[in-house]
Amino acid sequence: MANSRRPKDTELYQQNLHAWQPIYTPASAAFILVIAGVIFLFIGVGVLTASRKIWNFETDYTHCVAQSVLVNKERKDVTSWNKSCADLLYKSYQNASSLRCQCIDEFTITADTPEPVFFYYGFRGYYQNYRQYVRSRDDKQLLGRGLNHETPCGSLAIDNTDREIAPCGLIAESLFNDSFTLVKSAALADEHIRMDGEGIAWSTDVRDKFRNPPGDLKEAFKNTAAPGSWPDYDVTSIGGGGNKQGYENEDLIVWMRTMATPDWRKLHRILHAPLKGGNYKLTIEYNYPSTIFEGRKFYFFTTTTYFGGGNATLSTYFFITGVVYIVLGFLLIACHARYPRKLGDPKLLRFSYTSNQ
Amino acid sequence: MPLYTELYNSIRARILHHEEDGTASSSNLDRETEPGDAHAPSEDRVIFINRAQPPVPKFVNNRISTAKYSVIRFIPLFLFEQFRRWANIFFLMIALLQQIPDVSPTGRYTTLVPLIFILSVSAIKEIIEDIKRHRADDETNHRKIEVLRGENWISIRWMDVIVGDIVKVLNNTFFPADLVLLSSSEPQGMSFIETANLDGETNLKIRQALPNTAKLTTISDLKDLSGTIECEPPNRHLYEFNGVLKETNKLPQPLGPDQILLRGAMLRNTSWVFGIVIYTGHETKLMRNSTTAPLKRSSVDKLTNIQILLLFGILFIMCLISAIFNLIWSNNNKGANSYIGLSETASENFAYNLLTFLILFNNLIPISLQVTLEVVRFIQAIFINMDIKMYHVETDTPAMARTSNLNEELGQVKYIFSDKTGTLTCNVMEFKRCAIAHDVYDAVADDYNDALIVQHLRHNHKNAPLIKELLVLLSVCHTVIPEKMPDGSIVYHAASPDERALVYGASRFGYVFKSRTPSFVEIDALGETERYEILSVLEFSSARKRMSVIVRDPSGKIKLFCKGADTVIYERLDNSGREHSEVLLQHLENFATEGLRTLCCAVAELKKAEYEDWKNLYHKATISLQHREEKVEEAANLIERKLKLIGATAIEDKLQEGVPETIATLLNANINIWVLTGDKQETAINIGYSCRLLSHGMQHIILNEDGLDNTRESILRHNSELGDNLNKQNEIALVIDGKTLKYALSCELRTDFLQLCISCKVVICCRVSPMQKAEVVEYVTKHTKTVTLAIGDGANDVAMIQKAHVGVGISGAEGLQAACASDYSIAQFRFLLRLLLVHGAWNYSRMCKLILYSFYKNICLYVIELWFAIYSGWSGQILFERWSIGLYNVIFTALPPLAMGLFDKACSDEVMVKHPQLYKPSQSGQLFNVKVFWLWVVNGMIHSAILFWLPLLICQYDILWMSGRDGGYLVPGSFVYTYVVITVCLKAGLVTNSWTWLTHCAIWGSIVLWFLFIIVYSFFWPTLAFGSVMTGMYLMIFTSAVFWLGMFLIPAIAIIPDFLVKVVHGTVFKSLTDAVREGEIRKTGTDVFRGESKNSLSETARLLKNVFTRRTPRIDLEVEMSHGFAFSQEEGGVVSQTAVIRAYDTNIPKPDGM
Repeated sequence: MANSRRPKDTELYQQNLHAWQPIYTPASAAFILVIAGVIFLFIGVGVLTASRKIWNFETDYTHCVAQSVLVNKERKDVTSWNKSCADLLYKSYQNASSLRCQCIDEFTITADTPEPVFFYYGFRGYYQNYRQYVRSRDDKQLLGRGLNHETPCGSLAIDNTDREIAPCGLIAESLFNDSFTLVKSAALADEHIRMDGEGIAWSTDVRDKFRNPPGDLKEAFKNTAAPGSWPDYDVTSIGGGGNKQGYENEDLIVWMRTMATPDWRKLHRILHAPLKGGNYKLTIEYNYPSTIFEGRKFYFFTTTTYFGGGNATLSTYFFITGVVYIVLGFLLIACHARYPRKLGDPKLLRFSYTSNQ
Repeated sequence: MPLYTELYNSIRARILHHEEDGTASSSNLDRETEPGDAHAPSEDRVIFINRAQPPVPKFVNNRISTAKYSVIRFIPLFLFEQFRRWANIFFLMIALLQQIPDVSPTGRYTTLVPLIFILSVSAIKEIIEDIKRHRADDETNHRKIEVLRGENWISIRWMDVIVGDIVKVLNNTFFPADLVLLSSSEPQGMSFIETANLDGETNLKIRQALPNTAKLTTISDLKDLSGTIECEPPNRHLYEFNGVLKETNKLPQPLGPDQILLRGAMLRNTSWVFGIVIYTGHETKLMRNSTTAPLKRSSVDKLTNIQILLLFGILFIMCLISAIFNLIWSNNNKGANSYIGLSETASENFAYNLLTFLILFNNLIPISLQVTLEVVRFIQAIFINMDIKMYHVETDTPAMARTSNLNEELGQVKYIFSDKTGTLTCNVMEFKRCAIAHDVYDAVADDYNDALIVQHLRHNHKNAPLIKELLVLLSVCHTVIPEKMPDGSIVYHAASPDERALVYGASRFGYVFKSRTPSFVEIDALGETERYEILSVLEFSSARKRMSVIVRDPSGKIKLFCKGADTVIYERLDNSGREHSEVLLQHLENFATEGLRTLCCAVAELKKAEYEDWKNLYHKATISLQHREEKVEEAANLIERKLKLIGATAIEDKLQEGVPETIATLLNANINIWVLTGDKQETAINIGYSCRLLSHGMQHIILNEDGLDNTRESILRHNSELGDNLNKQNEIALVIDGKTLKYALSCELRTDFLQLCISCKVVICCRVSPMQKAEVVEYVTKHTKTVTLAIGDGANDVAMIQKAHVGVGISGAEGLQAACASDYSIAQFRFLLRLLLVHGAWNYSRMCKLILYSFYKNICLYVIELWFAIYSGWSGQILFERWSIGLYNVIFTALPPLAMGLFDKACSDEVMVKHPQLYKPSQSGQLFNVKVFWLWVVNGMIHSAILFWLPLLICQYDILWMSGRDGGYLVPGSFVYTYVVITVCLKAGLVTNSWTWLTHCAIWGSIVLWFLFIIVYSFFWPTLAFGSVMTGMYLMIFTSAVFWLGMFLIPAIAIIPDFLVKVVHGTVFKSLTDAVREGEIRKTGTDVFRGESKNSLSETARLLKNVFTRRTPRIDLEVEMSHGFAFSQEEGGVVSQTAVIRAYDTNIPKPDGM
């Protein structure tokens, strides 16, 4: 039988592999539902409990009232005009780019907040997820290695004097440039609250995605141009965002991470100390145009827990799912008790294949 | 294996030949138009005997190649094959579109790379299969053959045989090339060849050398032969040959088909032959007929393709909608231009957007489905090949799936068309019983000394003289040729298997047929040698239904021995010879009920003068110029009378093992079985009884009509008699012969005839040609629109095997025959049960799940892109990283479908066979149809909606990390992607009935793979120049508690409704499969379901019973049927039965061919 063609008698070849063959009965389904429901409810409660420790508030400042404007390096109080910055910037003045507008928002905190407090700016109706927009960046350039051979920035890679635009592309072009300063109003002197721009970006981004070209920063960017819409700064002089300049500026890094939906917020500053109860004044340098595209701007303070923010959505999911599962589970048990069905009972068969030819 | 291919090609040729005959076109005409011959030398071929052939013209060598590819041709041929599939063209087109700058949302190579991967898998599969073919070719090419070189026979490889070689072919071996027969070991250069592989005829054919060369039986004789053979150039006409043998200094002799030994045929009953090679390799007639097998696709496959086309429709609609919405969005959000900065005009933009969305949504069509199917089918085929329960130990033959395209089609068979000989029967006849006077003797006993018949002989029972007479008749009245073996035993060669069985039977009882010379035969009658002089032979023909010999017995008396059908014998009985005739009829009926083949035997003593007178008369008849046949028959009639009845014999046409049980189970699985045989009606009916297709309670409709009008009248009458029962199944058996079938299948009658057929439980077509078999199969396939299966072993079954949806070949004892043309070959008919009920049903259910699931999982992921478009201004932005999208099908969800397609099963094989009813869901295509398909599509859509919005809403409004940071668009993207992978894997688990460890690996492994991918991919940038968006993704995802909580919640929300539906459906609408499965797992036995609706004779059928017995076209047919007469013998061959008898002298030793 040396050359026998007898097949190998193994479990695999004979399709006899040991197998787990689950039977899903109403009883087991009910059991699973109830157990899962209870677990989900507990998680829901857990998330909700955690979120109650959170302090946060949000303000839409799209149409904040202008306090002062800076025209020709001269600050002028315009409170009496009772105009919004948006109107001043994009309706009244012809040469809006030379104008700086300032709003001041006041708010009161009743009890001390936990720390740290995170400060966000956000938009509604800003399509940072538009395909042409998302693509319009050059990751190689942002590593300080110059423009990609076929740069995705397209026409925004080189300016009309043949200089490399740094950083190039639509995303960089539309860099957010409102700035915020927070003070706690006090009887004697307003207390300046430190808002830290360091640590707002992901460490992996800082380490692996954004690097300045080697050498002196100014020297390295000497032959580059700033994006056309940047008013009076270039990549070496972007403000805020920690101590780093150039591509490593954290404000830039955060901005370059485009968002999934048109409604979003980005971490802007971190307050490492708790906000004590009292009145606060937030001064907003209002530069960024959002009314042009009918977008709304807001800022947002929050503290976090282990689960992140308030997570109302998540806890709602858990609650609803938990309750529905438990109800379904008991319903199933009730049905099963009322109309029990024995496994393998031939009387309960529905012969769905009565010879149909 | 190439030999199979060769053979099967030759059979195609035969069919073509039939067609040619049918159209009566002259063979010359189509020879000219034959494309294959276009480049062949138009002048005749001249072959020099015993001399080297001149260098020009050069003949091809004898190496054959049936492989699909060679090393050089592989790439172009393979690509051509692949890009004939529209799916691949579609993906290639997408890959090309992606090269247009700024159009693709997913980069340039995300379609190209998976496509190349998939093509590579296909290529590997093709290469593996082709290597097998190459090996098989080598096996054939390296067979040994003895060739005359110089003074010696030298053994060389087949591939080294060249034109002009003189070869020696031994008994039971194949001819290596097309040969001209020079001489043989048998008298007058006769040789027997078996052409069953070529034309399916089981009786042997006789080829005879020219008298000039027949005497060349030694090497020296052969060496002295000189001259040339001139013959026509190679062509593919198997039954034609023209050539001339021009020996030096002798008159030219014509060579015809009788001298040709074709490659593919086998030498039988002849120790050796010498032949000269005329055509080699691809110029042999066999290879000239090479055509490729028709590509068969399963019903599931066809349905899948239709659904894919519909999906295409949906895809284009989705693209159009998205592009239109983008236009609207752009108009409403002109302000967004301040940061988006679009510059194109709207119309141009619209066109580009359309392309963008086409690229974005192209993955709705599962790119990997084709290759997954191929891989799964390939392995399923291995499972079929490796099934030890389909392995036939005696012949060392495992089952073999020759194509894997039809694995699931095996689960949908509704009609089986079976050949008889070699399929239902073993083609072995055994002398089973005989009836003499009042007694029935068993001819099969362990010890023949104890056999009743021997006891009666020895003890001079009153039957003893009759017994002796019968045994003498059996050992004398036949055309069998004995051959003494070196060990002293005698082997009988016969063209008729019945006669062989009878001679063997007689020899067991002490009447041993010893030798044959042209004038007498010698038998050993209980130890005494008796010589019977053969005076005349009255040949068997199916019209005469009898065969007689006139002998002079040792005592000098002249006797006529006659054996034949009871009807013809009884009417020739002398009044004094009718003793026991009534009892005998009863015995015959009993034999017939068992499905035995009966023959009646009778004897008549002739006076010398009477014989002499008749002899002259008969001689005149045989030499008459006009109406010779009739005159011979008349003359024979004159002497075959006044017979004295001796008894009857019953031969068992041995059924293959387990045939009746198999048929019973198949009928229980609601499969209709038709028998299509080239054999005679009586044989077919006998077999019908013995394999219990027919029963005596059944009504028979027998259609034997001459002419169209009679056939029409008959069919219409039966149809009207059936009335309301037409097109329903009745307990009726329809028997029709080939001639009537020809009329019945004519355009005009076809529909009526098929209606009649479908109304009958059993249909038996006899005396049908291969073409008719194919036609029946084709028309039933078309008419009923159900899946048909044809099973057969002979080359004559090839046509129907190719026409049926599934062709199954019996790789019989010789291992050849139709197997090569088949889609599946099995060693025994009984394995069909396992092939259909186990592999078929399993594979069907697996394939259905696999296909539905593949669509589901793609819809589940890729429709999310549509939902996301709502948020991204219909810009075509992707939510996921581009390579994750591209690799979804080939990595992250590639394994669960494979596991599903390979290891899933609801019930074990034993249970599947035990409950043939479990075949019905697959047979009626319940698991995959338009409704089920769209249910899955909708299921996928719902899941995609759940899996998109739930995570998105979390990410949009919540902060995900304690660090307060924000992720980009890919964070929700990765959340969604992860949940999709988990959900579709769970869904795979939900539809899996049987989790092997490999299933576990596939399902959980896929999820693990995705997680590993995230980690690995997160580190690509900036070391590798792509994947910058994924930088640090592992950090963002895995440090978010929300992600982990969502991972338990969101897939559960998606999958639990499916789970509940399954539970409720499986409880309230439990199917038989569910019930049996539960029973099996709980080991609670489910015998209650057995024998549900078997053999319920409908009331109407019972009423109709009388109707059909009323009238039969040939009166004696019913009688014959009930008496079971059957006999097979070659008729009208090259050499007549008499000639064979007269040619042999077995007392002269055969030349040894040295």
